[in-house]
Amino acid sequence: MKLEDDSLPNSGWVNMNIRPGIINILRFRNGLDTLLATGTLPNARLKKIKLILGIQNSVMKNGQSFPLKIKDEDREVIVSLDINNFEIINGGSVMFWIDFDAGNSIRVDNSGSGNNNGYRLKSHIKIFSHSNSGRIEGKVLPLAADPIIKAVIGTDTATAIPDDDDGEFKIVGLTAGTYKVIIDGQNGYSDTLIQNVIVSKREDSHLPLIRLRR
Amino acid sequence: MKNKFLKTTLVLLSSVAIFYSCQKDAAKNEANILINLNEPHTAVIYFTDHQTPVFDSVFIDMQRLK
Repeated sequence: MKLEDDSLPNSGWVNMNIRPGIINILRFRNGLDTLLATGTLPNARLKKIKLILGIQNSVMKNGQSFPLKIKDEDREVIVSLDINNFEIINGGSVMFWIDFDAGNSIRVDNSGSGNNNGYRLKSHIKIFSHSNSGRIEGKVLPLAADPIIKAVIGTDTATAIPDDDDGEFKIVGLTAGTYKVIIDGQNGYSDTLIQNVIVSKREDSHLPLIRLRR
Repeated sequence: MKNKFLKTTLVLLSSVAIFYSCQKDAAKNEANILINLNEPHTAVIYFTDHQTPVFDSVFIDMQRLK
């Protein structure tokens, strides 16, 4: 992380302890998360965070693996931070979440000839803390509808896919505001729209049970 | 009279500047206790994901975090 004090070594950039490796980021859905990094900071005046990616990226689609190419300049993902992005928990630890927007970060690779060029990665990440964001949660039935849930505010959309076993979903890290929630039914099930879902900081907005019909 | 007005204005402006610079050095934690941002802190960073229905899996090669 880069701290505000430029007189610090490395112009204020501090390395965090991370276990390098390849992770399937789609495991962390419906509010699930994993501890990514820890470290010690000379101060808590955070300015930026830099995530450095390797080149061993790939995707699986319909059981088939495709390379996920990344340009050299896209391997460093830098995001600005301010006091609204993190929280300081009791005991004095700075805590925040890195939210990787898989849907917006992957595009079909149109370079070269042919139609089987795989995909390209240009990472979109957001930083949030639980104390400065809210959540929407609910349950969609039947499971056979395989719905996609979208929480929309202005031009921002956050997506969730309900749990395969019980249909429950949770979207975390939402900016406070009034959302519309679109339940995009698949397999012949109709869509549903819920307007005026109010999201407040630190709170879960619970939606009533949603039943999709054919 | 004019000098007195100028002095008062300067004092007020200085007070506002000091107030805001002090605010920048502190933040309230979840228990609403004021924390000095200039002191050393530990950092704990979690990772989560917003979903895409397009892929079964997305494997990302995480190397370093600064």
